[in-house]
Amino acid sequence: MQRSNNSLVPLYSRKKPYLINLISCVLLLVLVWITLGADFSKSIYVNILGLNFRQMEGLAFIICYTIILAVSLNLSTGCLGELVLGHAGFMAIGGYAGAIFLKAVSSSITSEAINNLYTVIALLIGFVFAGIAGFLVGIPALRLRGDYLAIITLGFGQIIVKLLELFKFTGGASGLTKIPKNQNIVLYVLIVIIVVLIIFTLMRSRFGRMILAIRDDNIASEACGIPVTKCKIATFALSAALAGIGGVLFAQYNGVLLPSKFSFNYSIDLLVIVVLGGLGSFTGSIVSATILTIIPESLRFFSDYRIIVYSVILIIIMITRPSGLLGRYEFSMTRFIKMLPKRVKNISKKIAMFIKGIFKRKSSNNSKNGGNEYE
Amino acid sequence: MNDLNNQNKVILDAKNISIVFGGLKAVTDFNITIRENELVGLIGPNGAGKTTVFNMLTGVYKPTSGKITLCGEDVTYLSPHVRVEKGISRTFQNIRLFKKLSVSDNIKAAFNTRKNYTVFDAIFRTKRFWKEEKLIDEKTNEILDILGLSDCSEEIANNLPYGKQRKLEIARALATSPKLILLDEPAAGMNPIETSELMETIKTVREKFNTTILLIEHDMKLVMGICEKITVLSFGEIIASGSPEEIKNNPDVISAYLGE
Ligand SMILES: Nc1ncnc2c1ncn2[C@@H]1O[C@H](COP(=O)(O)OP(=O)(O)OP(=O)(O)O)[C@@H](O)[C@H]1O
Ligand SMILES: [Mg+2]
Repeated sequence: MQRSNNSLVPLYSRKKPYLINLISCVLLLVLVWITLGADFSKSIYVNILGLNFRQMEGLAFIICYTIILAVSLNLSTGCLGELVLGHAGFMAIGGYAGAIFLKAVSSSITSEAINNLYTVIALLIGFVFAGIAGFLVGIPALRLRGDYLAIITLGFGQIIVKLLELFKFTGGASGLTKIPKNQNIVLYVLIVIIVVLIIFTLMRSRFGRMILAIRDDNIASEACGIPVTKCKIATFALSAALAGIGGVLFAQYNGVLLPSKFSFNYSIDLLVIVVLGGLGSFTGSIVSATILTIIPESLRFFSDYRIIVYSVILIIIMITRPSGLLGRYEFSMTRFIKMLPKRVKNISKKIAMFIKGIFKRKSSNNSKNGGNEYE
Repeated sequence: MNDLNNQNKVILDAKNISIVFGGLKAVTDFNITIRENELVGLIGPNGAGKTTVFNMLTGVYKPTSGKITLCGEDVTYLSPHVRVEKGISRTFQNIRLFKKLSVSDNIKAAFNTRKNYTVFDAIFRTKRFWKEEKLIDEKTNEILDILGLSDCSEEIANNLPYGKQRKLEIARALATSPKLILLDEPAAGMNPIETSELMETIKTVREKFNTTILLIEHDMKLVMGICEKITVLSFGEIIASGSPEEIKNNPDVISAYLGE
């Protein structure tokens, strides 16, 4: 059998997609820097959605850590197919671990560069601690088949909150205060990019195929030589570790950590974001994390009815798009650029058709009497 | 015993394997020796324990007693995915595909046994990663070609017609580069045309991939057509084993199939 060269065989041109992605990431960072990060940003700020500069800046930080949490939750719930009801618990562990470190070194923060360096170290600490927690929770839960992980993470989330309220070194119920802040939005966006990139590249490799195979069928995966339990635990631990990074960013933005923030409600909020964006679609998670952070803020003029309007919006989206905003679609810069000329062509074609259509309608109106309606 | 003069290397050897579920003796003292490049049939009435035998051979169930060796190595207590690496792969009686993945991704997922790059390679997209991915792509296309699935390689597995789903499952089993493939009723639910097509596929697979096959099938005629050796199971026990001719004329087999 001779194989004709069809579209199946991808071209392994490695440089081009890299370059395109790198350039778009840099552009994004520059854009963020110009609009929010630079000294002059405030002076050129244009009021959008009725939010002033400070509100917008705050939103940008919230969006950053929410994206990290949503994307990491999507890894275990959307891709691996394990329902996680205590994602905020891992965020808390990462956040507290990072914050305790930062408080310990706070006196030596003398310049912005050192602060950024400490942030990076805190992120690593948060990553490791939350990852270990995920690993420990995952071992008993994921060895069993079924929805045990949902129940165990549910309990875990609750226990963590109680423990944080109990211990002295976590500040008890009044929380950790005076955590050194880092409000460098460019750094935040950079970290988001790195996290998203890690997940993206992993999902588009043999590891991603393993994870998706496990989601679709445990038994068949095992029969294909995939070490299901190991792979599940590793994926879940990674998801927890990345949530830890989100926690550290949260701590550094807020400067305060309260145990109550990491309650069951917050875990569910995150789950809503993921489901709404589309289980398994990271682009969806990013879009939905952004939208669901902005909507409540920009609905402020509804004041008390805010929550109702928000819920109605959620319900409408879920009814009209049951598999999430984007389903399982992923955005690709390379594809987008490739499509661009086509899109432009399509649109211009459509416009041309439309104009033609107007003329045709006119002419067919004239000849209506002569034509056969049932033709 | 009758080995049909085949003195090839022994691939699989199961000695007196038995399994008990609660009080039910599902399989008792099952023996089978499969040599390289053989096509062996395992037949028997409903509930005879054929699938249970497969589950023991692949490690889904651990036998209560007995020993399984693969190319001389004891695999009785290895877990399923390790056995796949050692060279046993299988298909399922009720098709188990990765339903939401594309046809080619179904196969690529099974190439995981190669383990040729690490997480680091994947994240940083190293040369090693690209080389391996390219190789996987080529091998996937090769398998798709041989099984005649290349025209639907990008389709979602769940949307394939039934016959093609069966084929895809075989394709996926081949991707782990097995020494021995276990096919559990590959023709179940197929019409006669699809069935004969499938039998052709199995023959081609055997030739092109040089594999050994153990096949469960309900339909006696069908098995007689392609297998060189047949083992008959009834109520968990072997009642006959030998060449198709011997099986056809064996009174026990006839009564098991006709008389209950
Ligand atoms: N996990 C299990 N627990 C309890 N009993 C089981 C289990 N698996 C199989 N059995 C029993 O073992 C017996 C053999 O079942 P098996 O599925 O192996 O039959 P089979 O020969 O494959 O039949 P069929 O032709 O219908 O596929 C049946 O009585 C079945 O109920
Ligand atoms: Mg069966």
